[in-house]
Amino acid sequence: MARVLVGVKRVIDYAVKIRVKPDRSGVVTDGVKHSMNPFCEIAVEEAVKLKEKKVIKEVVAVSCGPQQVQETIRTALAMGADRGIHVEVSGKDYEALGPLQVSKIMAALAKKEEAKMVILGKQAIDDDCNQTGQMTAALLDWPQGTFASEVTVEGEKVKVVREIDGGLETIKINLPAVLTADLRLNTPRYATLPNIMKAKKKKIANVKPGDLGVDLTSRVEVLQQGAPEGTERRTGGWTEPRNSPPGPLKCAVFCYHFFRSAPGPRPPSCSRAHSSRSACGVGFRLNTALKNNARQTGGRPQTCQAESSRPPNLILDNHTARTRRPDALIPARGTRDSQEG
Amino acid sequence: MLLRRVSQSTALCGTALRLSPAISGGQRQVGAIVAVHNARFYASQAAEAVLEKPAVASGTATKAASEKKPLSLESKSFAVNMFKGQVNTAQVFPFPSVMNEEQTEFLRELVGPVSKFFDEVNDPAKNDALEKVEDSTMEGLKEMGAFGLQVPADLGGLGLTNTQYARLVEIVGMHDLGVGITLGAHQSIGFKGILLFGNPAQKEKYLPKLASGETLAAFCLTEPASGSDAASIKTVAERSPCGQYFTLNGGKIWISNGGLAEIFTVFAKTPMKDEKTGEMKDKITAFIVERSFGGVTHGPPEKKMGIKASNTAEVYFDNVRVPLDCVLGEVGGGFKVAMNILNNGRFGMAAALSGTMRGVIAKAVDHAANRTQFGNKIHNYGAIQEKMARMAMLHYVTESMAYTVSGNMDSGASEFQIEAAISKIFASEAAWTVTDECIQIMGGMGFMKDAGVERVMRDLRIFRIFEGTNDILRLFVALNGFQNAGNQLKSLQKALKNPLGNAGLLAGEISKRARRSAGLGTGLTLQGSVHPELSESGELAVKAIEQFGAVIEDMLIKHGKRIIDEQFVLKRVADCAIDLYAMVVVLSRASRSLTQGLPSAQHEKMLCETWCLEAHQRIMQDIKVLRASNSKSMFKNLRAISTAVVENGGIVSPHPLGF
Repeated sequence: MARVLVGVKRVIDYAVKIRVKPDRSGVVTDGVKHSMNPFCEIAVEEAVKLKEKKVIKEVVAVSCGPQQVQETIRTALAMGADRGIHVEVSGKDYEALGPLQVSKIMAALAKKEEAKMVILGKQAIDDDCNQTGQMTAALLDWPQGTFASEVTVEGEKVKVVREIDGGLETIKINLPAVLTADLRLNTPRYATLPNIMKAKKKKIANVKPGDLGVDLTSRVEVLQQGAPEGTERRTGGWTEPRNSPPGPLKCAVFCYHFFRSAPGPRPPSCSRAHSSRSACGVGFRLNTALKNNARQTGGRPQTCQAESSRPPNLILDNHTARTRRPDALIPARGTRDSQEG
Repeated sequence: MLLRRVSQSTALCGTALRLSPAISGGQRQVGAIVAVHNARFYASQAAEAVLEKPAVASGTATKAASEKKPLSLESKSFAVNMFKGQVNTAQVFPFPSVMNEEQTEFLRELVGPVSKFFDEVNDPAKNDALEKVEDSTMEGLKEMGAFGLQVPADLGGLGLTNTQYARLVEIVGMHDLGVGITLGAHQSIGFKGILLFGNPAQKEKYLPKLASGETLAAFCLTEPASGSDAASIKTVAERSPCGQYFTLNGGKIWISNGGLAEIFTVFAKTPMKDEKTGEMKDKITAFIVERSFGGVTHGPPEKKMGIKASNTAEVYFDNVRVPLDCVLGEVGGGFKVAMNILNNGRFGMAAALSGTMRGVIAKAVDHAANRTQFGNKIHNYGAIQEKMARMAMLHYVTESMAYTVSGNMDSGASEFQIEAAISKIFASEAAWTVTDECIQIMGGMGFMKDAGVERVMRDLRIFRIFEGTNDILRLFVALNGFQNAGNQLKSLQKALKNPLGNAGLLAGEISKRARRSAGLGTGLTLQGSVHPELSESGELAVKAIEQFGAVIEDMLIKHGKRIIDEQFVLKRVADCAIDLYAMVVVLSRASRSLTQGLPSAQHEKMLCETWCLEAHQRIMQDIKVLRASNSKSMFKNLRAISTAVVENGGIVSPHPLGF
């Protein structure tokens, strides 16, 4: 029975359309909706689940940043974390705060709190760095289980199923360890209103990086930030799938394959896209295409003939790709764009 | 059917405004019950306006009127005062801000998860198609705590204030009005009676389970033969000889959540002995009835035009034994309970509908900004621009009204019934117009089910009908206003009898009238309340109030107590009152934004100025009609046309082709 440290980052909400400041020094954050990094939500959920299974005793949510990050910590507390630690970083330091600085803080806190496990999101949707977990493990000299899609604690070891290129890898590592959560690890629960109310009573400790003996100096200088090439979002489209059927069936085949080939359980944020035709351009077009096809062939849709072919590739520009749960949202957006064309 | 309704509302002149006779001497207030004829949806239909002494010059009320006078003269309600041609800014300026920092912070934390739930879990199209709220969504809502928003925290709820509640309901209204009705029928009226009138034991027994959603509640007032006239209900609760329980018999119709609820707030007649005369008299009593008492059954879910996701059913009570402990409020005090519940719930509708408007406006904007025709995005065309601007204005007014009323309620105001009724009328009509225009902007796309706006349109239709039809609420607003104005006039008449003793008062009133008839200002002003940049609009509002006060007085003098039968007049008076109140709330809100220097301040100023200009014109037009000598013949014509059509059972004129 031990303690788990979870990092929660406050980022611009995934649904917000990002705007770059005119002087290109960064993106506009004033008055913009922020929320918890979605991968951090998955990390919190996993920690709370472990606590519910009584594998661990306490979940501590940590966030680094100015006063506002306490909102993010509150969200974690409402989801079931027991207490929070707010590492106060503001002004210039906050602007320069990168994976190295955060991992130093996490490592110091892990030692101070005698944590058995540090669970982080695999990356944040704002800078997409994907480094903090790895660096934290290195600084602590602990084993790491990154891109976890399944975590099982077995005594003093933890079995981690990792999502790697081309498949899944199962590893067993010793505790204490650092884990980073991938998309399909779990479906984060919603913070319910009664739990938010109860979370008000949970404590958030305030810590300064200096207290932890962490130096926040950054060696990275950001020269400028810009929007992806061409400020207008370009239209997405599809390449020809193999055995491409003619005409209206094309879209149907794409959709069919996309949904068939999506690995693992449905990513949480896209359940609507699948369940509701009206909410998702893909579903809508699929339906129309199938109907047309049925009319032409005078019978059942023929999509199943192409079942064995490889899923088609998506052509997307960078801007579209910056979404919370990329695999979930891309097809919907791609289709919508292509309706214009 | 529609025609019948129209004719009925004419008939209302005689029937709906029923003056029930004073029960015992001059002590009891004469109560007139205005209730909705047609629309009894979830209960409130009993458009229950309790007009205490509505008859301005009714003979019996004279004595009581003088007793009540001081109270009504001191009213802080803006709406009450504007009927007297007076300005009382206490409840409207500055724009109500009633939440402390902690409440604001808490609310801020709640908004995110609720929005997310409705974005990601709830599927309005599916609920609509299933004609019920999906089971998984229902479970989610219960876990979410959405069923106990205003139940005190120590009884398992969230203990939200009206303003906090309004903010969350706005999110619900934006996404799914069917779910909104399910939630509203439960907590806005279903168990509101327990919250407002329940004793500690009742609260402790019922509220925790209701707050968690373990049990649902419904409000049962409407009956087949009793819609408008809530006092005419036939459901009877007879007291047992031992006095320990009541036996309930009767049937209720169009009960939201009727098929799902476990706890019912039921209104029934109880025969009571009048203590003075010894006569037996039927009085309405409110009861908490559990389905588990036995004898409670319900019909199949009704098939409806909209809000299909909500359950609406008939509920029957067959020899239900209700313990004495389950009386809500006092035995015989049920009418007050019903009216209070309904008055307290109206602001929620305005809040929900302002959310609905926000949602459909976003859809219209999205379309207008992306749709190209004739080589341009359509938002560049004036025809579309005017629609968008009007939609934004209607939303701005509704939102301002909703939060003014909720703010007034939270700061402990007791007189807000005119304002609440205005906000319900305005919100339901504004939302309808905005959604209609959204579909128009979207063209064929908007007509398609997949765009999701036609459902909103169907869902919205009922809002002009239930909780008191807008027609009945207009009468309520006008008569309530006339009553207050009448009391003031009466004190003036009294003063006239003793001119020497009241010289000061009379001199003031005489000069006010002289100035008004000379077209000069009567010294009313909103200066100091309204931001200097909006002084022109403020002036328009003041002018409108002066003219409105004058026309009210004229109407009172002209019609006397017959004013209650002059529904053509009352409708126009109510329209003026609605426009006036709308002007004032946007003046207040835009002033606040200007004072705070919000980035949107100049935009809000434009919304406010445009609204005030047009509202002023409409008010002046209505006043002109009220004053015009030929309007009497116009009203007469309307009445005659209607009568002829009714007598003919339809259109009177022959077909232009002759067959």
